Amino acid sequence: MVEIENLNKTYYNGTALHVLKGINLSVPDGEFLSIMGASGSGKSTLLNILGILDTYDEGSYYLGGKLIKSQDETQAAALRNDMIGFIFQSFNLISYKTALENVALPLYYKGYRRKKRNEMAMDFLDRLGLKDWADHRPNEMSGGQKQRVAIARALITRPKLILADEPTGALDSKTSQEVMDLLRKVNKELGMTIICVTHEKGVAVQTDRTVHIKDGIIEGEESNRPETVHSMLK
Amino acid sequence: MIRVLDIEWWNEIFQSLGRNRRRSIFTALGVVWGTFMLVLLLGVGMGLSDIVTGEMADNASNTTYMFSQQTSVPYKGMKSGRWWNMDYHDVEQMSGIPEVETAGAMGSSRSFKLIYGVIAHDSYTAAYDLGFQKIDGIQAVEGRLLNRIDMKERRKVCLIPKELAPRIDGGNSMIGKTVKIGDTNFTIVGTYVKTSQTFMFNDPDRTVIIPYTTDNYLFSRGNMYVSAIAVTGDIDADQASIEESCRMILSENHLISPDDDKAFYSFNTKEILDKVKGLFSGVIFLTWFVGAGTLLAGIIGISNIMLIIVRERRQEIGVRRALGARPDEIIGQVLAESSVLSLIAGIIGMTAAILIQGLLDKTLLPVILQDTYMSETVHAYTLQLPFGTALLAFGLILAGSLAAGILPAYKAIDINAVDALREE
Repeated sequence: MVEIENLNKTYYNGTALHVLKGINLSVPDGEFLSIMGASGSGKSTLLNILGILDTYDEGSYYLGGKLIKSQDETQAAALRNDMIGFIFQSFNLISYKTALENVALPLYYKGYRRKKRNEMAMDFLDRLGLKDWADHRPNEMSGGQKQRVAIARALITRPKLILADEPTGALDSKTSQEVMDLLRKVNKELGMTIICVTHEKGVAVQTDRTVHIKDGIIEGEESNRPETVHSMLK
Repeated sequence: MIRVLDIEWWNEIFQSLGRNRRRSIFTALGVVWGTFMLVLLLGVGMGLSDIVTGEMADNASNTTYMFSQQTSVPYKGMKSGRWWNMDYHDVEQMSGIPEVETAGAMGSSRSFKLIYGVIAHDSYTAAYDLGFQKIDGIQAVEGRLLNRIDMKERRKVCLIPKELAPRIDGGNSMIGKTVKIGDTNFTIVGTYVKTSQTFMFNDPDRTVIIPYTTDNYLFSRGNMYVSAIAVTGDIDADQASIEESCRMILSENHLISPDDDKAFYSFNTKEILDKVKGLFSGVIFLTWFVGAGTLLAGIIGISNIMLIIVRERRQEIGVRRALGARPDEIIGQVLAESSVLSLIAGIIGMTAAILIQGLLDKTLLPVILQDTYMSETVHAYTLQLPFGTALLAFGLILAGSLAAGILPAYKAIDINAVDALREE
């Protein structure tokens, strides 16, 4: 799904800041990968490049076999809409829209008709047990509910790749576990590739593989046995 | 831009404007006021200009008026500082100038008591010939004007101003009744109203018009003097050359030096009309300038508030972009919000101004036109903005409202989605 070779990125903000110094990463279809690293390690930059929200200087990035480079912002928007679903730490729901409208928003940009959008969004909310909350605004929901709405929004276009940026960072441990279970379920049942940035060990061990990033390079990786951890928790 | 047909697109705009309703309303007030002032001032300015210049243009716009004065140059044995009079031969000669359409004269004006029964009214007589009657553009309100036979037979007939008529016999019609002017009985044949204010009497409400010939025979001992000559040229005649020909005639007939600029005083209506037109185009230009400036200030206000809105919605815009909103969709949304706000404001301002103008048409206009011949046809005039100009003003608002959104829209796509999503 994701093939990255020798990825380099330097920010020029007065002084040059070499953030990514040759990242090599291969993520097969259907993998649930976690990226761990301290702040400033470059993991956010990597995630942004993966999400086509940022560009890179050197190397190559193939997403689903397609080289992601030097596209303009309009093409990037279409690629994001088609191939990538985002989940954020702070949920990033639009505050004045209902849960249903929030979930339906990516379909709006896909150009679907209103009726179709709302049907699909309702279907996803139903699957996540949020049907009764469809007409509520984000400020009327709990953190866990918000994140589930956000996950529904990320899934609704059935992207190949889900990018999750600290998806449990703002949640308590119980809710965090529910969210991780949900992501695992999505990974298994829908076969979506998930890349999850986290700094919580407890979250990372539930993924198939953890990549450690430090000072702009991949320092090491470990395979987890999520099934065992998973069953232990249950 | 198929989205214009999508109800969701409109929902988005009104949702986001409605989120801060009070701020939106106060911001829009600037544009409401700007449009209101622009449309109101333009309508009233153009309306008044039409009334004033229309009135002048209606009434023999190509007319020169001449009056005799003291000479200032000795000529052919005549010393300077001499008083002289124009006379009726001059008028007859002037009507023979090729480009002249009508020449007319007014004789002396005298102060008399106008007596009906036992009541006397202060009044003045003005002696008109038919040419002057035509050029001066008086119109009969009741009865008729002076005619050829009145002139020929030196009839003792008179026209009284329509303001004076009702005061003489308790509001009863005066047509055909006899009044005493000085010691002579005159029959009133008509009441009149002046349609031109180019040439005015001292006391127009009390000025009784009598035939020139009658005045000359009764009061002026047949001297054939005239106190004012009016000469109207053909539509496209050169007024300056007519004026020059008239001067030559006067100079020859009365032994006045052709170089004596002070021996007579003259003015022509075309010059005055041009001056007034120039004045009004200045007023209208100023109106555009001030009105459009006020509107611009309002639009800058909207632009400012849009910048703030865009800043407040950094995170939302970041999310939208992460979810696949194209840059043109973000720009479109910001432009749509600012234009919808400005357009609604513009339409409100324009509607208010048009309503006020409608009200002014019913209240102010009759007052302005009071005592002029136009008071009869007050419906033919309006202080409403002409449709074409209203369209132009609307176009200005439309352009301004789009312009108001441009800077905020580009700020919006400049937002780094990555940073915006990380904030909170």
